[in-house]
Amino acid sequence: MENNFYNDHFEQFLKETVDDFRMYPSKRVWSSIYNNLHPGRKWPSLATSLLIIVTITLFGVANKTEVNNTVVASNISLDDNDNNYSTQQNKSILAAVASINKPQQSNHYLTQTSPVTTPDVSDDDDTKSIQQSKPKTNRLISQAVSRININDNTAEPFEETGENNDISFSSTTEGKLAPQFISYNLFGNEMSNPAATIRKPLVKKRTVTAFTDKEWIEDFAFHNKPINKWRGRLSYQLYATPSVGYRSLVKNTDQEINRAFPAGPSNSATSETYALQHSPSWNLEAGGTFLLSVSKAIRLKAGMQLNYTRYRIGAQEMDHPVFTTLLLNNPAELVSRSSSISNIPVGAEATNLNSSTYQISMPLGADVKIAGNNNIQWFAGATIQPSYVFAGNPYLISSDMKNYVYDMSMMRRFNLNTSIETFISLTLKNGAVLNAGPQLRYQLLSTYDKRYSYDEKLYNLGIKLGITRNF
Amino acid sequence: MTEEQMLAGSIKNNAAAQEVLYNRFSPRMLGVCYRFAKNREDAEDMLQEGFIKVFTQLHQYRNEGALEGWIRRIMVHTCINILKKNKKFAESVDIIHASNIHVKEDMIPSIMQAKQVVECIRLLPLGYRTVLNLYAIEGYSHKEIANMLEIEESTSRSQYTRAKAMLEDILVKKNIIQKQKSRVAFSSAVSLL
Repeated sequence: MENNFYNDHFEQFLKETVDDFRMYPSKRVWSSIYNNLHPGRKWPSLATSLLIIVTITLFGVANKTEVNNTVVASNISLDDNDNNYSTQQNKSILAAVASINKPQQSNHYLTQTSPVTTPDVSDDDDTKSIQQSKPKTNRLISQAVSRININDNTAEPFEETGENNDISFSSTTEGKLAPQFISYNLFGNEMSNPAATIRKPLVKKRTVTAFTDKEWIEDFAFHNKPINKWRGRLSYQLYATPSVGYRSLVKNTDQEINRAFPAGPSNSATSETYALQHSPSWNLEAGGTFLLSVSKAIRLKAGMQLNYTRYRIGAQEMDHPVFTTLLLNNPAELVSRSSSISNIPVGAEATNLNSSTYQISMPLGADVKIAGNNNIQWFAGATIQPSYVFAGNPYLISSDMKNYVYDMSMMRRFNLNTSIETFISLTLKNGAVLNAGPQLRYQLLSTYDKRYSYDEKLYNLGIKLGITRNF
Repeated sequence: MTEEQMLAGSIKNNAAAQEVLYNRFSPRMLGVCYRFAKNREDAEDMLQEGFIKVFTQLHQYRNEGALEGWIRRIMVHTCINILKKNKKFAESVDIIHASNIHVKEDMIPSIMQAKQVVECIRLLPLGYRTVLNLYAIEGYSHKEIANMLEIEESTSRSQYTRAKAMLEDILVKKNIIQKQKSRVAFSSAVSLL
């Protein structure tokens, strides 16, 4: 019986003690809930928030030089017998020190969005009267103060204990506070700071009105301190894309192929055109990007990658080079070159040429989440890629289409590519994300210089494999 | 805003009403989630998911009992569902594994009252902690706990017994409660008066 009696008491003790336990969630929780319930309202709220932030910042800058009797900030190292806080808080807690003698609105509970004036202290009264100052933009202090249930009848001095209890605040004249920082011990030990003019503490020892207030401030400030908003949104991705590449080749001039050129053995005028023996070949792309999540569904990306493009040319390698010409857009410009590679059967040894380029590109684009949950997601993405061709093997077809000419000077160095892709992301247990999916890359500008009469645009289709990790 | 206005507005997906409801109940509900979660971040994730369910199912609330109790039940079920997704949870309700766990004295936090007790509860292994939370604090029966956690009713009972013994040991070390024997003696003495 005693056991049951004890058991009931134990459970009752647990229930009563724990039932009143509260914790205050960080702002991101409500933001996430709100965005989930109102998905269409992100941009207006973002614009409004931006406008408010800019307005408050401008207001703060405009009022920066005003001297107010204001406790701007304090670094309070609270009595930390609590091991959970001592290493983590590390003087980063912003607390509003308020001991109120003037009647305040009892049990005043404001929402997080309503600005509250920060109480400040003047020392012209031994009873430590508090005067209201102009609103400050110190959001955390305002909110911390606003949430304290202020009870008129329980105003008691706030007591700081321990060696590490320093309140840092500022003063320009004796007994007055101003928004510069000095640091000195609460108990009157002046620190070496040229800005300090205070000679005695303005705030004497006081005891917190209720220990729960102190704990609440501590908990609230710690868990709502400004966090690095970019952390968690920024990630990086390493990837490789083996692909099959080919080209489109279009003549961009109305000139006849067999216009008069310096005569040579291989340049006899003929109305024939000869088929080009081109075929696709393996390409490769590899690089890394930074990903920035701007919303739940969209992330921007920017990075760097190396591209190797290639397609094959069936030709014959002649024993003796011949003179040939390249057809250009400007009829007044003639380009004569020698060539030992023939496009037509001439009884020479057959060979396969690789018309290739080596590029370095800077992909800029975005990914959009189409569907998925925390573990598996489906994305679509696109990029535009300014590229620089730093090497390659361009084989240009001659004006009579009988020969190939190797001429790096006719290669366009700066180019522009674009890509579209879709991929599946799989989140692993260690937090890494694997991505896989098809990608189509297309070159927007010709491989060759604009003087050349042919436009060649490369494209490749492959499977992009990547791994993404958060910072 | 009255509770009726808050409810009606939230059901109509009014953001202001929803925020009022959230601000009113979130502190206590986060405390509930914190008792089940591994850390604060997990607790906030549980809170977020729980409140999304609250708002999407609010039209089903029939004014039978307090709104807080209804929200609390949703929150507890959300916590359990999230814990069950964690494969390690299934192992944690295994008695054989749990019996070898000891709590070192230096792990006991030194913060006051409610938070002290909560932190002491969170020191328990996951399975112990979950059963103790559900039975002793949330008031579910062992049968209901067995259904929720997909375990045997006898397992729930034995888990609770061990959890309570371990928690008592922690609370005694922290001087939050007196030892069981003396407490029983005290209770007996009280009953004789």
